[in-house]
Amino acid sequence: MYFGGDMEVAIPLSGQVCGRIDSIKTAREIVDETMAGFYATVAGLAWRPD
Amino acid sequence: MNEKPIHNRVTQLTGTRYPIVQAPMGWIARAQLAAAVSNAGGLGIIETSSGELDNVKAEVAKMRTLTDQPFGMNVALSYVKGSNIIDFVIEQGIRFVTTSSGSPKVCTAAFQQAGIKVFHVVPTLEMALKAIDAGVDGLVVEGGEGGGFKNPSPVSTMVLLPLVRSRVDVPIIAAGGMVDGLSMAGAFALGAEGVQMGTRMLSCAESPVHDNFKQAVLAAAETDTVFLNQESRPALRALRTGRTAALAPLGKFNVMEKHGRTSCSRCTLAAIWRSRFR
Repeated sequence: MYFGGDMEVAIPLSGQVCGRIDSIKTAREIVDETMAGFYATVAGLAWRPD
Repeated sequence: MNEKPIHNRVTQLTGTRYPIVQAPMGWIARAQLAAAVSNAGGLGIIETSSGELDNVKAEVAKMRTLTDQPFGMNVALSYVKGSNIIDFVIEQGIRFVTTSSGSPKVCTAAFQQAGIKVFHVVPTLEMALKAIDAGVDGLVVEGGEGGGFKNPSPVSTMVLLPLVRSRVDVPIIAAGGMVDGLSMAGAFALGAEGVQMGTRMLSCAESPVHDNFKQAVLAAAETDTVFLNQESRPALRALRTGRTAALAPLGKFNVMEKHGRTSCSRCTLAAIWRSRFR
């Protein structure tokens, strides 16, 4: 299944985050986008008046 | 590697630019994938849970040609019985291991004497405290929403991470639910200093799995995993397919039908409680 492509011959392990994954990206894209998203999220958490 | 590096205890111990670790998926976490993650500034990890130590050794050698960045190995003690996996890993010359599915007492000191940093994977507070007693350098705290082999009583990352954080001082890498910057920021707020990604890396371009598997992950909703083998170890979380749905043990016995024939939900719950637990 892992390498032959038949999804019914074994048990395809996966976490619930399968629901949050909708495109194949390179490892570099995943790491870069995670870090950019992390910094943006953390910056957005600190609410400042005007 | 365009983003600002993170300097914290996890990156100090991994030697990487970013505290993003690729999970040690059996047969999958080999040089092609691990080198891509390490070259991106994360930490690639080579698995040993396949038990194919000759192949693993070749993969480690391949890593040296594919990347000059740090990488680690995982030791799944329960899956490699009968072989001297500790010496084998030390001989590979890496500096960072995660240990899982076995007692960290068995190997932590041996690795540390060889100059290797040890993070033990834990699914509960009790196992976290045992790992601390064994002297580990850090923990991979793994919530039950993650894939692969699991504790039979899965605890979500949202509960487990702050619970363990409140009781230990060592650096924590969060696993289970980690997929992007939002989840990483959430994990850091809950006490982590790093994240480990399995399913996200399984479905990345450099992952060696068949495209059908990657497409199945992409097509799956958040409700499309099943939790199997809860009564007979090891429990595991997998994608719902025809085969795994048939293996799922739940759904035969409807608690609400049998014990819930009352008009309001509060009465129903009281009835369940009386009948099942007294």
